[in-house]
Amino acid sequence: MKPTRISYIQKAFFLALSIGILACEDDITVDLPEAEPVLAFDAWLYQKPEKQTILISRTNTYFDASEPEGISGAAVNVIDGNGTTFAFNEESAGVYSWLPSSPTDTFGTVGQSYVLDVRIGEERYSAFSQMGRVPEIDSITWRFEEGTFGSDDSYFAEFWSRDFEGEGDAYWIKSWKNGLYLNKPQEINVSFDGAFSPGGNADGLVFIQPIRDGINPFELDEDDTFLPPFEGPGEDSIYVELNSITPEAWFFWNQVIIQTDRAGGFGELFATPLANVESNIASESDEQVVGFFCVSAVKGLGRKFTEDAIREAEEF
Amino acid sequence: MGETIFGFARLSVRLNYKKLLLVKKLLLLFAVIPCFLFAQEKATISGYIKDASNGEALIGATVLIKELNTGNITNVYGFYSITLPPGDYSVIYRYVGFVTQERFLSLQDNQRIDVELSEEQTQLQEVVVTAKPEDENVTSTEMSVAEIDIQTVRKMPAVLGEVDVIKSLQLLPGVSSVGDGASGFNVRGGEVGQNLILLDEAPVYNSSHLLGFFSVFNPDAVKDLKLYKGAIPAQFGGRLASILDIRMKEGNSKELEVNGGIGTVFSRIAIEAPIVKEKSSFIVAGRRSYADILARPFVEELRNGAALNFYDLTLKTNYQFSDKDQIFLSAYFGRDNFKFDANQGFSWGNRTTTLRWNHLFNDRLFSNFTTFFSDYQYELAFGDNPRDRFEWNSDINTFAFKPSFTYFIDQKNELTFGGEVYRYWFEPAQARGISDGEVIDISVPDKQSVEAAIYINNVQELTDKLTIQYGVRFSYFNLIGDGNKFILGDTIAGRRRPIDDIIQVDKGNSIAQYSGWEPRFSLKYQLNRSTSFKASYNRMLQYIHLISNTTASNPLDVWTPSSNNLEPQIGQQWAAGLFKNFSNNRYETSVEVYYRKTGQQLEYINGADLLINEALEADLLSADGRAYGVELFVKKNTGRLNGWISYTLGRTELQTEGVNNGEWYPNRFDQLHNLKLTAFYEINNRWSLSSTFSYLSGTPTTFPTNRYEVQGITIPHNSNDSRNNVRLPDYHRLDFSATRKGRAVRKNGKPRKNRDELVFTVYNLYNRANPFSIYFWQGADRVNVGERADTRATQVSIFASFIPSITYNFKF
Repeated sequence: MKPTRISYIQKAFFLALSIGILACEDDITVDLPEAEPVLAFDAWLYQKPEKQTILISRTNTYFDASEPEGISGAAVNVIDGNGTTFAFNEESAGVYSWLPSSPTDTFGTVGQSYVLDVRIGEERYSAFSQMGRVPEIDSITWRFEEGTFGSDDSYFAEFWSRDFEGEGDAYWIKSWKNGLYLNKPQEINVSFDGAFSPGGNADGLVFIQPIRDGINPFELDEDDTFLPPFEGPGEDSIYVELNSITPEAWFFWNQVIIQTDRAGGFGELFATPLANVESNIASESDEQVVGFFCVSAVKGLGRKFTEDAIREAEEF
Repeated sequence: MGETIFGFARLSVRLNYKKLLLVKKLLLLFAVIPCFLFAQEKATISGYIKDASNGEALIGATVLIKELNTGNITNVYGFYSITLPPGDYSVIYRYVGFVTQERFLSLQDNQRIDVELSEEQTQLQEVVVTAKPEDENVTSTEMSVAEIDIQTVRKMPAVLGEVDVIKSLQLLPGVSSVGDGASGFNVRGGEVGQNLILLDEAPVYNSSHLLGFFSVFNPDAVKDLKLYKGAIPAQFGGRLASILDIRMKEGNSKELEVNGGIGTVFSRIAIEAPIVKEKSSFIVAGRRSYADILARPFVEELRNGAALNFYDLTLKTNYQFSDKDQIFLSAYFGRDNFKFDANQGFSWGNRTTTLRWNHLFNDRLFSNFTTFFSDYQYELAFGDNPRDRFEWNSDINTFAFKPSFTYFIDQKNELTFGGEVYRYWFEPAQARGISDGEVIDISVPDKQSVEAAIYINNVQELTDKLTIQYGVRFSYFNLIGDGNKFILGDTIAGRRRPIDDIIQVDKGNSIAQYSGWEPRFSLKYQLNRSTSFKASYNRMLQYIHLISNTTASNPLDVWTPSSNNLEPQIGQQWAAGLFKNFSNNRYETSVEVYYRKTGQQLEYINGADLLINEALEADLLSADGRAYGVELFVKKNTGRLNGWISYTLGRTELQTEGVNNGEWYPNRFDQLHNLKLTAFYEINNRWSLSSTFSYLSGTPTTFPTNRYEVQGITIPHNSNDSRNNVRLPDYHRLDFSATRKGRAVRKNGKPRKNRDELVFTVYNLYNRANPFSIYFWQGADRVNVGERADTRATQVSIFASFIPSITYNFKF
């Protein structure tokens, strides 16, 4: 329960701007150091009645936005604690999938552990995960906020749910505004025991406000002023998904946030050095691999922004 | 005071008796030897040297015995003492920029001679670059010292025209910073947290206003500053890289003096006056940013509780009870406030109070007893309604007692000894969260510790040519319960260490204790009248650590004590240098080389959780460090055109398992070349110019080599796993300022009492956007599902354009 993403400092800088000091930013071309590509896994499985996919590829050089080279011919299996094997079959180069046996069947059971087992040629890769519990989302409401320092009046959506009693529950909260998946690095929203991070010893809370607010879109205009996430009741809607993740996966996303949600401008004064995000996938021969394997239980809720969805906040 | 006595008692019980005995023996040895060697009939002349215009003690003024061609310089309180065989002497009192005085005396018994020197009144007042004896750099045993006169600091062009004590130091050899706007400074490749900044002996834990743009010291209240980069005397300790000793003005003891000014950022005023003429005086100096006051009528938020301001207040007073006793009381209070509304915001600041008593036991034994309190505190509060809030306070609090003695044994020996006891209270986080009305306390328990040291140091003139300074400091540290002692397990280097056990340690019991010897040695060999060779060695221990893994340090960084998992940092430095002056001290030059080896420096695991984390130590790594370099300095002291050239060729590197494949890598502020030019030119008695030029090699940074996607997010990756593998472009900047003094005489020819001046400054004259950092990201646009992010590199410049400003200063 603490502001690890200190957007507050950015806010302070925003104020500092008013005394007339200006930072400037330019996109530049740089030469990157030479490096060998490494194997990358994207193995996130959800307890949903739909096809589950594991992607295996090689990393691109940093500025290369083309489709990465998929790894063909891998034997990809996920084995649960009871010894049941879920075989992931190659769909296309590097894309391995598992289909539920019936339209209502889902992948995985809460509390069960899972091992990812991948063989590529002679090499074997493995990872471990456990499907954590996930609470229901009780409701979604909107809160009015008066614009300050030049920003417009706006409404913020909030989801209401409570973390389970007992330490070590971690969650990844995804959201969709009007069906559009909010996938910016600034929109990655993870919580540990209902709060920001494990160090603060929170537990069993209603998700704290910054996490509840984390479901809103993060949009800036050309002048880098925040655009209101919602302007008022009407046709807008939001869909929120709570995904249980392991504490290791929380740590993974926390590192991803540090590496990808860059403050820019003055915020770079307080940036931490670029560092590699730890993977939970190990190779038998200690080959360097990147990516993550996790199994998530999922609860979701959607709501249209109607007048009665507005929740009056208490004032000081 | 009660706490200190308590601390002493506790300390004496806990100190290993064997060590104590050893220290006693050593003390005896040091004290006795020089006395034996030079026991004969002698008499002492001693006294204070002051500025005749305002009664301020002159630090570092020369007292020269003409007949013997020997002498001494005044200490930080303006006191000197010279012991000589009886006889007739002429004594010369000298201080640059002041009229030299010569006194003739027939010395039979001890004599007290207090002297007041008057400023030179030349038609065209030459700019004084240093206010020290002309050849002190060559003749003194001191080396690796960066000194800059406050008058000089005032003349330098500064960001937005705001005279800045700390930024000016960066124009001297061996001092740099990670970039524009960064708080603090780096000395000979040391971290910001390895500098001890003392304001009238009290440590100042955060030296910046506005997150790093301005330093917290009001130039109107600063009298003297001295940075020890190496050859650190035994009376100082506790940090590896440097000691910055800042002394406040005592206040004009002759007449009322008011200084002030209106700058772009601050408006300032300083009032000083005698309380009892020649016996007691005071100074009160304050600064405040005023943009918010001007903006208030136009910005509704500011009227509704939002705040954006920073200010500091400095107070000092002194009283001379007798010829032998003088007390000084000084206090500092500074604060930065950034509030978004009445209930949300961020503020931080330092507070210090120092009480000092100078006592002369006799003509040869000068003593000073200091007790101080210092505190750095910050607070954050967020949440615009009472049911959803986050509040956090953090604090480091220090109380200390420091007796120190100088025994002027004879003209060849000057013995300094004393001790210090620090009591620390660390409050990393007093924090609570409120979520939908439920309150949770997420505070991290407080920590307490004692740090103590005793030291002895002698400056001994062995021959006419060879002077040596040798000393030792014994320091001790104890982290005291109650508190949790974390027993950490091992893991892969570079990962968070697991907590194997947590042991509750009761109140008063020790969680961890450390102690160590810190030998200090330096020598000066006078090759000829204007040339000397100097060398030094010192070992330093640092028991408290600044936890910071961001590019520049920030106000939220917390200080944390050593513990069973976090060992004290150890530094050893060797330095040697050649010092030569030319043309009768008109030109001053020096070359110094240094090598510093450090152990148990702080590094951090990837994704380290440093704030509000009781198990913080599990995220820290212990690194070895090395820094080495050459510093060149050429200064022209006098003339209408004067100034200096400073050049440092240096490296600073770290090594630890778990970062950069366990190989050495450059520190974030490693800069191979560091060139600074400073020039002052006096056009006539109304106009003067000054200019500075800086050139620094680009700092290192880490670039990614590859990218991959996890669940649609593009993640940068460095498959060489290297740290600081690329250099930013070089940094260079030219600043310029012109000062126009108000008329010094009235129309009727009489001199004006009131003086004023206008300072026009242009910072970054040729408008260069110097890179502060380059970061890699996937752009601000949302990536459509199924598409790939367009990754890019963005360069950030902090002061991206030239910054003109005008400052008005007055004095009456």
